[in-house]
Amino acid sequence: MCLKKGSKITFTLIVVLLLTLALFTNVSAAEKEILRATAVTPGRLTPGHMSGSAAARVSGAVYDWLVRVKPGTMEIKPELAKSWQVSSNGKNWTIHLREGVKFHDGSKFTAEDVIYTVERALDPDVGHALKENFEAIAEIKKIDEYTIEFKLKEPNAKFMHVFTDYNSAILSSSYDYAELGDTKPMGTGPFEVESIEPTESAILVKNTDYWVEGTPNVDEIHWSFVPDKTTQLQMLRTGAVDMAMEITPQDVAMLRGVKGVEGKHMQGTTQIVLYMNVNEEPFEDNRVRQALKYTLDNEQIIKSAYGLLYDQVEGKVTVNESPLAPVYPEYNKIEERERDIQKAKELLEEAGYGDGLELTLYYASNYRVGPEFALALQQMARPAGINIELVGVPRDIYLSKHWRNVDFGITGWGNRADPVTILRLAYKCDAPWNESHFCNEKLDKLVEEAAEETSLEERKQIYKEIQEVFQKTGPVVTVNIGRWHGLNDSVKDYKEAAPFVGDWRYVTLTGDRNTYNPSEEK
Amino acid sequence: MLEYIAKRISFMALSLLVTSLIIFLLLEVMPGDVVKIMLGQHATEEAVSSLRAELGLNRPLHIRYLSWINNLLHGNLGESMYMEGVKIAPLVIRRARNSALLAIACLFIFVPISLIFGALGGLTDSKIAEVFISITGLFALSIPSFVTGIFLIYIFSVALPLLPASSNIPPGTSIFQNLESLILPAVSVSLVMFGYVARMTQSSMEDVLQSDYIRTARLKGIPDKYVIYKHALKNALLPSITVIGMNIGWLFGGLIVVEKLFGYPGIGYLLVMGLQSRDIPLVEVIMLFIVTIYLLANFITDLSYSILDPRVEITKAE
Repeated sequence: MCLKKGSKITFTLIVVLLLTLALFTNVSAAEKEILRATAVTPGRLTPGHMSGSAAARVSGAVYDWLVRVKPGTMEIKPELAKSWQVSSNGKNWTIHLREGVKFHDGSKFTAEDVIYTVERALDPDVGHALKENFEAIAEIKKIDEYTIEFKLKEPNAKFMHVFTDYNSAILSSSYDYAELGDTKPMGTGPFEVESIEPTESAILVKNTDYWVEGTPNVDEIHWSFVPDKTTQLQMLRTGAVDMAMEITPQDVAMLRGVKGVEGKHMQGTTQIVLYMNVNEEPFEDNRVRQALKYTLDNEQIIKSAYGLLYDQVEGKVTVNESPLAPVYPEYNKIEERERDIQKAKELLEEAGYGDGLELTLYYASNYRVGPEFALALQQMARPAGINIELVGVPRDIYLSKHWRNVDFGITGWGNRADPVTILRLAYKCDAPWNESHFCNEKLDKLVEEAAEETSLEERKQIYKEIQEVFQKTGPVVTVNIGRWHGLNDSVKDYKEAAPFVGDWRYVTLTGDRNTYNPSEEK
Repeated sequence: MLEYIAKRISFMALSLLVTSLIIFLLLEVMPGDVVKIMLGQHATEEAVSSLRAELGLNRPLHIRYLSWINNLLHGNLGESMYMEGVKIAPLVIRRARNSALLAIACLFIFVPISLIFGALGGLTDSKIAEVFISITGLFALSIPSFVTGIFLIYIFSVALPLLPASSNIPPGTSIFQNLESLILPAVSVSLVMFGYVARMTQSSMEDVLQSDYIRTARLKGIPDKYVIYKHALKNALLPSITVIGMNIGWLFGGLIVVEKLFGYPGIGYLLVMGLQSRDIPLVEVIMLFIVTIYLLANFITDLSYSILDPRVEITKAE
């Protein structure tokens, strides 16, 4: 009673405070069409130092590439390179550049900029991610303002593919990327960077002088960098963003009940690779490798990874036994191995493991599909007497501590424009990242033949033999996964080429995004 | 008094130096590798070693520690290791400001409410009201803020979409244009604090009311209103103020779970992000910053306590 006056004042104060807070609602910008997207914090944004999809997607709007991959396939189409020819020996590549393209700072795009981009990648002080790929070049020759010739050390039928990588974005020869590459990126792309708030957000605005007539369609892209996936999904559900990039299959299943948003699948070359070290027991015996493969049920692996979404990924996510993702045009459909526990037991018996086999499998627990794949393996191998102990660790620890040091692991691979790259990196006898220590003379020969062969049909034949080598003696089982994005129904025509590079030019926004009630269920 | 303050400040400086060493060594043994995160799996050995050199990671341990401390003393907090060219100081200041705003919002909500409810609970003769406040307090205290946070999100953002589900700040705006995003995180923290403070106030009010001097005052015939305002309340609030003071450090720098749950861009969330990307220079600065906040908060609480309660002579309170 006695405190009545005091409490009244306090309550009034609280009410006033809450009302003030509520009144400070965000006043939305005028008529501009703003696409709002969220992704995890992208890390570095300078080409050559980017790693991962968030950086590649942000950069996809800021830069242009000489060529881009057509979404869903691994074929390339002209961008800043108008056309190109290769000499009959497969070594001299002449590239004709598009004229009339300007950088965001107004300077003209010419052959100098392409040469700068390549020379910067080769500079050991830069530490460029693609240095080794560009080392295939023996000589760079500027023919005129808009023509360049690359002379290669070895014939390479798919040389142009190196320019599709997100780290090979074309840079301006007059811009200081060492200083400004991460804070104020600048290229010829459809959007200019207006501001970047590190770890929080970025605003990109339309490049009104962009060379593709009539694009980009939206006026601005507002990125919110949110490390937490749950928060991203909440934002998508409640209409705070239009796109949530790279969500998990579990998230997509959850979005199925929400009106106005949908998970979209994009095909890619990412492979989750189960590798076995062929130098050490027990995998040095091909019968053990075969036995393990016989315990697997491909459909079940995909079902365990994708759960409710199985019907949406059926035919798109596949399991096979070679490092060749089905999305490559060189891929051949070969007969899949059927699960056969009896056969697996027999093989183990022959190899001397009749009374059981104990294995330890290492994997990155925070990487897509890894844990699900590992669990499925553990379950499937058990009936054949193979007991697998699972060790899941964060991905950077897996990569720095376990990868290539353990005999049995699951690694994420992919996003290479040309399958030769992966074969050279991980499966030839002298490959630098040969995690499985696989060495097969026939394979080495076939890989080099494939690299030089310019006809797709002939190449496909060579790859068929390569696939057969892997089927018979290979050390890997791969799950070929794609990517999922959560999209508001109003977002149309977002394209994404296989190596993560987002194509934001044709994206349109239709309808009123905020009319739906987020709590309304489908 | 001055001597005491000087002593406390030099003690704080010493504590900071020791914690800086502990933080540095802890992060040194933390598993993970920023270079691997930055360059990804497909980095060449050459790229890895060139980046190591660029980041100064190939220097001996003590050199790195000394150069870090030297830079700190010169006011140079350095650059993020994970994000090239991003200076740590403005980033931490921006996030600390957001966290401070959240802490202030919490204080605004729970301090008046819990003091009033606690005091009323102690004063009332009604057994039901007393038990009600006591139980509500216990309930609020026992449920972690991330649980109440999820319920709050469900009620206020999903069922009745009144408030944003995530408190991240839309690009191009500042926290001051998005004050409504403070409400849910502040309320979920306030509930826990309400539990602590209301129960503390209630029990100390009950104690005070049974004390000899209150009985004496009443027997002297001083009006009830005067007894409560002038004598009981002031004494009953002292322990509550200590509790609030002791939690200031937590409010300003330790709301990691709540910030992460709501995606609120405060210092705690930045710490989580720094740890995830193994951005050691950033994590070092944030941890040191949080330790400083705790030390300062305790220092200020001690000082204010002595001002509120003249019986506490700080010169002897060492």
